[in-house]
Amino acid sequence: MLSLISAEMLKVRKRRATWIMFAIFLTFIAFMVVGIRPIVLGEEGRDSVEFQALNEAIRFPMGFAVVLLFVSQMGRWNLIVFAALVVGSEYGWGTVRQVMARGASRNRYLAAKLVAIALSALLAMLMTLVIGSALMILGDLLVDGWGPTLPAGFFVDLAVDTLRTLGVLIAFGMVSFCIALLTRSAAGGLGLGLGYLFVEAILVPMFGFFGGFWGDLADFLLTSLADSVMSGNSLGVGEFFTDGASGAGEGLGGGMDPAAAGLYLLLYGVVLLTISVWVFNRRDITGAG
Amino acid sequence: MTTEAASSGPQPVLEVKGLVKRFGTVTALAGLDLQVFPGEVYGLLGPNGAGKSTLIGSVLGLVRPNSGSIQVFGMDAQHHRSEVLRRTGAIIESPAFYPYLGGRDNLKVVARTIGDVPPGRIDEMLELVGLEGRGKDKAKTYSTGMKQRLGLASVLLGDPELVILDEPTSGLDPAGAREFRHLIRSVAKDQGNTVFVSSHLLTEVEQMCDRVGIVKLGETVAEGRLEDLLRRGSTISFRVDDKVRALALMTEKGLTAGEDAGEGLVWAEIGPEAVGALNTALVNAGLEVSRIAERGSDLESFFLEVTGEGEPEVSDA
Repeated sequence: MLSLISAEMLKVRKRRATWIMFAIFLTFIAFMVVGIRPIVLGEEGRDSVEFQALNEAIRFPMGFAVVLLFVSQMGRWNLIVFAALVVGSEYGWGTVRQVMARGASRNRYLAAKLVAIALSALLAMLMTLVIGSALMILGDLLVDGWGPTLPAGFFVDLAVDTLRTLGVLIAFGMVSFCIALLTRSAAGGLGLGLGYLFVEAILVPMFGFFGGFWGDLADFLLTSLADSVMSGNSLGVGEFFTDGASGAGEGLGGGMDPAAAGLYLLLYGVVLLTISVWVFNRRDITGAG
Repeated sequence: MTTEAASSGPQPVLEVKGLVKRFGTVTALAGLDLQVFPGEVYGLLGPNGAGKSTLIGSVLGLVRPNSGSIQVFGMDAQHHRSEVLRRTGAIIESPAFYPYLGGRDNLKVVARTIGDVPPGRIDEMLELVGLEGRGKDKAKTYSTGMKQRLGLASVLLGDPELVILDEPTSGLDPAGAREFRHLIRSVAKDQGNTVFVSSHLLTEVEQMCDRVGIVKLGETVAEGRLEDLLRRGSTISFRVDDKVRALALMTEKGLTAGEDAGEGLVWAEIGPEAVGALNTALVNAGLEVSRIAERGSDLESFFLEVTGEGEPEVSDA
């Protein structure tokens, strides 16, 4: 199993698309934590209330809360693309047949893919946090000097919040993982996965506007559940967020209790994984695709 | 089916019995049988759509047959899939690689997938197939011939006892195909592997294989050692003025005979030494024999005969 995972990691590491996605991601982070302060507000805006609030939110070390929020929002789009490529490309290239013909069990193959996706997401997040902290410090130095104080339990909060964010990302990755398997194509996983996310982005506020049954239903959609889970993040609460790091209930939807939302999100993951395993085990692997 | 299988001696490395596979309403395999013995190069010959790739997919566990059995190394291929595949190397349809990875990295992926590949084996295989200088180049830059050779390297990486190659020279130019056939023969001869090759190219199978199975519409229509099949296929054709009487006489003499398309043409399976006697018998029976010729005795003629793909119409007497 370990050698299968290392084979998957080799494929991911050497693939240019992986690094392009990561670079785009980092560019956004860099803009947010460094560029936005001087660029958006300029010298004359330094004394404004907006600047002060923004400055506090993206200072080291509490800026991690914003970074994780950003990771959970943009990262879900990224992971949908990434998982679709990891699973679907194997059909396009015909390599899935070659791997299966070399004796890898179908379940282990899927497990190795899933672990590789999760591990890559975790590594990308850790790299983002490291680079993000360097950028935060740089931003602080550029604006008004660096003098951080770490609140009590900061590292525990950071670790828990990071893992929670990873869980949210994996749930979205599972969507395109499953679709790419069903459609036997990267384009299918990517298109339908992103399409699903896009449709949810429209449905959640629309259902919320209708209220009643529709409002309740909106809470159970993947996006709302993810936002509810993210509202459990404790970094920054009381400093610049009033109700959890995602600001849940303040515009992003997802009014469910974070723990309950986490369980529903897990249920989504289990259902998608079960469908993937069942279909992959039942189907013949024939032809180029 | 015409079978010439070895009846005694070593146990087959691969034995397929009554294999049936349907894709919806299409029957790809309709009760196929074959046997592959240790150390031989076995050629599975059949026209496109005969079921060759489906058979290979079934042996490798990629396709689930509806019925029948596949024994590999004496084990049921479905129930002992991992163990069977650990001792088997295969290319299905065409070698597939990660285009963005170099040849060496592609082999690394294969090595990690197989597990337990000794260090240095990748270099050894790259050298064997003549790609030692191109290992770092991305697979997408390889020519068809290089991809086939890299495919063979990936197959041999785990030192398999059984090598399965599906249309191995497909897409190669004549020189490349010849080179690749030599490579495959040397794999069987020098490394002692059993090689199973599927092909629709008669010359390829004729030049490469010890034993041949011919499939048509998912069924084995002939199987045996190449020289035996060709010997059996060696027949003499006679042009006579009365085909019906000539066939009756040949049948009376206990010969396998039949009629060919074309005016007055009949054939009989006889050695060259018996041609004179049969001719005399036909003439003595009042038949006019206007032409005697050796009927096609190459694999192509035999293939056309048993698959009914060509002109000849066969009727066993």
